[in-house]
Amino acid sequence: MVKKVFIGLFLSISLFGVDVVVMPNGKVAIINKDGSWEEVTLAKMGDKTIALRKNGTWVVVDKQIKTIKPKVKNEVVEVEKKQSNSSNSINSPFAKYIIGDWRGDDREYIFDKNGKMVIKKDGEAIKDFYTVVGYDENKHIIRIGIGRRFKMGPFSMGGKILKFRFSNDFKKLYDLSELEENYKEIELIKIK
Amino acid sequence: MNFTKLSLATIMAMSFTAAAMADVDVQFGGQAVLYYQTLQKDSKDWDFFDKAGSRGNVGLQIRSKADLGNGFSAGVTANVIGTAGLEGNLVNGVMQTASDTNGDLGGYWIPEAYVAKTVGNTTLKIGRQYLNTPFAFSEGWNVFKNSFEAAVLINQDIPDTTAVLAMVNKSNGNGLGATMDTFGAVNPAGGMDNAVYALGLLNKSIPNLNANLWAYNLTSLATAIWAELGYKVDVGVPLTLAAHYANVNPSDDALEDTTMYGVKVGTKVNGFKLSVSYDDVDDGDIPIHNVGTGVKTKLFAQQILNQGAIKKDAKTTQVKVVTPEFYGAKLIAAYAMTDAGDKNPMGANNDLDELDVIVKTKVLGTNILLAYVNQSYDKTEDQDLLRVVARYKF
Repeated sequence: MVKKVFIGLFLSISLFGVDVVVMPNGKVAIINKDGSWEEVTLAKMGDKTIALRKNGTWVVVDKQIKTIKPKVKNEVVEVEKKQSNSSNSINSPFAKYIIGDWRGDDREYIFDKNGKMVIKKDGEAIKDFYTVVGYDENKHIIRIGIGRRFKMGPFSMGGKILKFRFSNDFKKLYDLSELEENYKEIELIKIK
Repeated sequence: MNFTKLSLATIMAMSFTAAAMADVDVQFGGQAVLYYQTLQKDSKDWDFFDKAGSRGNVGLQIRSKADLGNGFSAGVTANVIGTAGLEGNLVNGVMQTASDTNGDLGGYWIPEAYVAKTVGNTTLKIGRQYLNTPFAFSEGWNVFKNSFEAAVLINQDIPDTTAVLAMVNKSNGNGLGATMDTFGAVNPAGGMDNAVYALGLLNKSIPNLNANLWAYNLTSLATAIWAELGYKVDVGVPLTLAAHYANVNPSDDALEDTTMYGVKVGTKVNGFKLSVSYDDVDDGDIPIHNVGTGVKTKLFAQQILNQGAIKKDAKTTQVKVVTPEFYGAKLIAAYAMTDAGDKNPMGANNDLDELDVIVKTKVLGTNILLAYVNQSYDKTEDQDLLRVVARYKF
């Protein structure tokens, strides 16, 4: 009798089998109807797979759904993490000097603390992201990468790199991007 | 290095082979260009948009620059030029071309292929490159800029001073229908030593004053100097004062020196830029112009078409207005009056008045230039030019 009850119970429970989600890190979860999820452990019962809940109950698993690892997104996140932790990031004491509004005769650069910038030149304003590519504290030189950049092995590509030099008192910024072709540095004064 | 035999793929790969072990930063960019101009000239019975008096080109430029680490950098640029079939219907010629190997009015060339090394405050750049000195410079008026084969040393050890030492061997010239993949000696008169040697000192020690001095040696042809001052002051409105002087001294004693001086005053009022300038070039034998092309000059009064008249035995006065942007467009109007002497290249005493009206705007991310030029000569025929240039930069 008891056996029949258990079988009946098992069958009735098996009619209410659930789908589980296998996450990229290998953990398994049941998604509840209210949108919440709980982690479970998979086990084999005969020819069926069951999901063991932490409260001691279990359900039969109908289907295991594997999630797709968002590779590109994770790599971008990893690059950003690396940058924020590295000495080249905008959070480094020297690199922070670039933050502000720098104005020259024919151009203006506005760098904010969140990695966004505005370039005003030839009557137009271009908004973009920026990163600190590198700097030399002794020479007061900083290299800024503008736009989306990506890394492939030893190669970094994309966007544009501008090179600047601070004055000794960090109140002036010299745009060195035209030094090799036009032999001049463009002086910018910090106005904000 | 013989550039003519290198394929495009080989050229583009050159800049990335040098420093495989270090991290390499590569930047790409370029532009797509559509260039059209049409002349109106009564003596040739040309009206605007007649095929006979019109020229055009389409072009694509890919530019790459790599920071190779350890102070090394390299750059390679490729220009591809063609007509997109315009010569069948709309135009009778091109602005620029490359060696015609297939009977087509187009081809490609490599205007830049260089390596640079920076040590401390000194950079040495060797190879094919753009230049910007008063007597040897890359001109931006045509589809693509001309370039030079040169070695250039740039040093900033002297405070507030940039020193430039250049040895310029070859140039690909520029002009209507110029074949741009042919680099020839800048100074053919020099024989075995056909380089142009230039030394420049650019100083900004005095606040608001830029002082530049250039000295040139063209072996067996001439020596030359160019000096310029630029000063900014605020007298209630911003005022810019500029002056320049040049002297070209031919090696041949039978030839006369050429002396030039010029002044310019500019200001900005309510967003409008206004300037007045005056250039005086005497009747010496060698004109004041770009030795790399023989076309443009660095005179204050240089406009779209008047270079032939202003570069020798000429006194030119120019008035220029640049408006602020209205509805996304900027208007430039310039009027130059040249009093020509009897040795003027455009004809003895053939005075010229040139009016340029230029509109610059941006449509769908593309920079558009529309220009109208009217040239009125005293002794030869007048002509009018319409020019449209669209550049999409990426």
